[in-house]
Amino acid sequence: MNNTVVIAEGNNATESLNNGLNLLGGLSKFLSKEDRVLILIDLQCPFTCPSSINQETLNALLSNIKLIGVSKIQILPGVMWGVDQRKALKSLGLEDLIQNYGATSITYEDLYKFSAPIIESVTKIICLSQIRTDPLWKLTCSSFLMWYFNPPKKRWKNISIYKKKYEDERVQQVFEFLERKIPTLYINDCYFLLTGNGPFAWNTTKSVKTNKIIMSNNIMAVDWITYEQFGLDPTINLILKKALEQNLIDIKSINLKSQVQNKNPSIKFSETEPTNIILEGLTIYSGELNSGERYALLQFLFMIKNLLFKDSSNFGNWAIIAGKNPPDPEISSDIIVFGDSAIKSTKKYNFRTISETASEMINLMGFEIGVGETLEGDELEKAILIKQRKIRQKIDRTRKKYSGLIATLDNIVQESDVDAKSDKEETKLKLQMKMELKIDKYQYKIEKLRFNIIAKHKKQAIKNKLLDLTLNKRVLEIPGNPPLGWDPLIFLTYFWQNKQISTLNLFIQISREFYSFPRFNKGKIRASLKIDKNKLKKIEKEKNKPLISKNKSEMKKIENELKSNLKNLTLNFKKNTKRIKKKFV
Amino acid sequence: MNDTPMAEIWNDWNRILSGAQGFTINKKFLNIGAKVPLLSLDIDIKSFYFLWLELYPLFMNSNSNSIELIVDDSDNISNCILHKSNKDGMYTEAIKIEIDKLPNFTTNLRNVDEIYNILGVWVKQRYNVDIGNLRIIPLAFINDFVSIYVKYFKSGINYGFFEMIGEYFDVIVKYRNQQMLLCYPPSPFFDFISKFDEYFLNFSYFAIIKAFRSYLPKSKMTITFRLKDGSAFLSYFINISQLRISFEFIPIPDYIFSKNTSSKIEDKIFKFLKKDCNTKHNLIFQIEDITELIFEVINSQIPIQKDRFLLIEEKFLNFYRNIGIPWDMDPKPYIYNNNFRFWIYLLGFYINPRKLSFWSIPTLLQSFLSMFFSLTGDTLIITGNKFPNLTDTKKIDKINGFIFSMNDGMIEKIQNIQDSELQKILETVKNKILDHSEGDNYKKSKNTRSSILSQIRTEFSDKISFISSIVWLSNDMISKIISILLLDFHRHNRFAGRKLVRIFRFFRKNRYFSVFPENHLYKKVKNQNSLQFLKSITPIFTDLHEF
Repeated sequence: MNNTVVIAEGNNATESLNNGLNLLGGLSKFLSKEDRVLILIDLQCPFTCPSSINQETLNALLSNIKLIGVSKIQILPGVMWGVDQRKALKSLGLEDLIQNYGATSITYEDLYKFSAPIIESVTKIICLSQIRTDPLWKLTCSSFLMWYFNPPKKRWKNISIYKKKYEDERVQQVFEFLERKIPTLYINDCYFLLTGNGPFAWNTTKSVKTNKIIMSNNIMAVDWITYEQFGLDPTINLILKKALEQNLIDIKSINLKSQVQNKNPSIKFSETEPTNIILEGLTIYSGELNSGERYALLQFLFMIKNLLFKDSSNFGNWAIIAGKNPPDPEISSDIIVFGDSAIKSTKKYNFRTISETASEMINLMGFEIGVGETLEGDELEKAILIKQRKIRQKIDRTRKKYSGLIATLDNIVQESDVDAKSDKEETKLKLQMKMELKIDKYQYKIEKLRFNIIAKHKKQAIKNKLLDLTLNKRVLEIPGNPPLGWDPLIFLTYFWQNKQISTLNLFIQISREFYSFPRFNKGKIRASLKIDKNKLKKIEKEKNKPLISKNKSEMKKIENELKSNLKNLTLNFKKNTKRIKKKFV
Repeated sequence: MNDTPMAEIWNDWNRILSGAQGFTINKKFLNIGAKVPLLSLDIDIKSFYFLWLELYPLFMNSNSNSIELIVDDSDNISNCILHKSNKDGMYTEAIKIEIDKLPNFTTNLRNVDEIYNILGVWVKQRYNVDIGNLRIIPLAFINDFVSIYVKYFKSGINYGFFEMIGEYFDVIVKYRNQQMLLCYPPSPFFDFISKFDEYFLNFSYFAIIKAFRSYLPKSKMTITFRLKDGSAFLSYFINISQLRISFEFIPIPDYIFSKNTSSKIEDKIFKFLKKDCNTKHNLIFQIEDITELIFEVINSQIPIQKDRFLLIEEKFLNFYRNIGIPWDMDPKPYIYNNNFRFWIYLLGFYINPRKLSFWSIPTLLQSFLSMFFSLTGDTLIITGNKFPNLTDTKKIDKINGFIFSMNDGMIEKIQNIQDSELQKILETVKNKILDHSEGDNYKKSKNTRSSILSQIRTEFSDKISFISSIVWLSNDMISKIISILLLDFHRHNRFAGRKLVRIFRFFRKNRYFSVFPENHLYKKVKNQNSLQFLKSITPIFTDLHEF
């Protein structure tokens, strides 16, 4: 394998590519008129460069190939999970561009068609890779793009069904393809470089112009040099690491031809730790994440960081749970369980159910309904005092009112004649009696309130001993091992109201044009919820069985106690009323 | 001498100076009128005084005592004027200094800091004034300014007020970039407007303002500036017609400021203006907030970085949504009425300008445009009255072309394409289309606007430089959108909000707007019912916590 790697620069992408090809000795050194060329282009997501391929580079490449006059040019867009290849090409105007050069676009179906697979007839391959920062291997490059020679279903089959390791599977698939030994030219286009969190999080990414294009016939050499160019350890890339281990690459023998004047600008790499991604109200609880889950979770978080940038302010507190055995979230609000391993390992977690026994006090137009939290001891006494406060205030007011009247009468009595004096004295006594009767009535109410509150809390405490659980409806499960592409977004749209996630809705409506979102089966979800609910009720019933009869007798006891207390209280009240009346009559 | 334009301008300035001097001595403004020099706008001394104090920091530093050296073509000082100001910072006196009395400075006139230091000491000794600014003004610059003034006011009526400002700006940029017009300390505003020249090829303020002027709809309105915390109000009646824009100064009567009634001064001014001018658009701006916004813009580096640009957008949106504080209007559109908005909410339209999500709109717009439109690369924008006619033998109408070079979702460079180059490209495309056409039906079916744009893109990429996308914008659409956003949406009309729907309708019609490649965002706008689309995007633009 030729170990020459070239780094070329130019004032525009066309110039950079032409300079690079000249340094390699011209494209004619690689292609001949008889060749049937396949160009794999980076169209991971069909957004503009550098989220996807730089059209100018492709244009310049096609123009060079046309000059040689090869027998056939075919273009395969390497797309992510769920993206329609033809629609993606069309939306970027690439269909017209490639037609201008007599090239045709092909899909994965055409490439591996059972009757006449195109891959068998291809004599040369050009892998045109757009460089971006990536959470897995820090940079996307040729070895990253080569995985896209396989259709998405094949790429993920072993990982999601047979639970193979994502990174190993990816490396293996690339090596398998390389075994075909089709001569390939690898172009790492970093004229524009997308930095930050990649093509899904525009509010945290930045496009940087480096003016450089790196190319070679050797995939290992070109990627090794690309990593070194940006100050990275090439062994972060597992393909390069494996190649080094298997002596497939001899670093010393790389013949580097560089025609570079500009220094590389500083680059911000992707976030690799999910918990470092901050969004209003969001807490991330992650357990053990394998590389596939970590990758999918990061892509999901990057997307929602952009698409829920404004909408997250409408949710309050919310959480995302991912990985195997994650911590049980402390919040009981909206919870998203991401991926199969999180769904399975959190089936018995506390957040799945909410208790209905802790009834909340409802304040309706100033009237408080319900018991609220069950209290005991000092706290209960405090609550009683608070409740009694209004009646005590009434006693004070009554005392003040009547004392005032009596004092006024006293003053009048001193200045009046004898007849009037006796009248006034009589009135004074009446007022005193009224006052004492009223205060006695209020005292009775205070005591009655006390007995009622104590009984209420005792009853509530007994009720609380019974299990009364219900499923937490604010839990959303996003299935998948791992959930792929933009599929998880569709689940969010059924979880929140339309107006709450208006940006996400708009994005989904637009991207439906080229992305096939999975069908969200509401009926199926409702049915599984019903099953879970029934199961829960069954468990609840069984656990509550021995408690029910015991609770009944305790409740009766409390009620009897309350009745007798109230009876005694009423008797005392009546006695007191009689005594007061007697005293004044 | 008195009849020359220069003398006219000088007289205008002297009248203002004497008014300001009168106020400095008597602490009271005389109710006399004046004209803004070079702009020939009527104004009263009091308003000019406060307007000057608010705007001066944009141009020069706060110590406004300054010395001006007028230099001829051979860099010889031909005139020297010392401008003295009062404590507030308003000029009160202009003293002509004889040149032979100036201290000798052998240094080059470009070394403004050295000259400033020498003259600073000399002026302090001789006139007991601490100078804050030094300005070196070429005589040719003054002559250019005067000739522009004469050009626009030769018949007494100004037919191109905005164009005149554009020409003044171009002259400033020209002399500043030639290092002939110099200020020390540097002027933030002049520095800012001079920087664009480097990043935008064939850049001209005159051309931009002229284009903008052509898009302005016919209207009558009053604009009032609230100066110095309400101590003065400056009102103009503005009549925009196809031919000219006229500014009529409206003196605010004294009874408005009497404290007998409880209503706000702004309300009384609106009432007075509505009666006096009979206008449906009456606006009041707090000049302090406007200068704050301008400061935000002019303190930015050129080219403006993405984060800074988003911040500026947020500040402008925040300014707009805070109606009642930095600006106000009367009559207010129905959308500001809570009862009316309640019904609109029930119909599912979350429109509330007061709750405009100023903090998220710029970021989200930037994200969506970067995703679907252009994050990097060159975009060709062609504008004209009619879509270029390339399918038959008729003559091609005149169109303008601009290349917008983007990086990181920001415009890096704008290049005006020469008319001849563009015509050549269009002719080639036209010939190709006519050569390949086999019949009228074929033409209609194959040569859609999108395919024509695709062919222009290919031809342009081959002949001039590669462009990733091409956009057609009709002049009619631009002026209609400006009219809707500035006027129609702000009318006191129950259906004013519906006018927003028309904007989306324009994007749906190819004769107004066309783009190649047709990205998915455009397809969405094109294919969905405009009213439904508006309904789906209003929650994005509005903070929802309301009723």
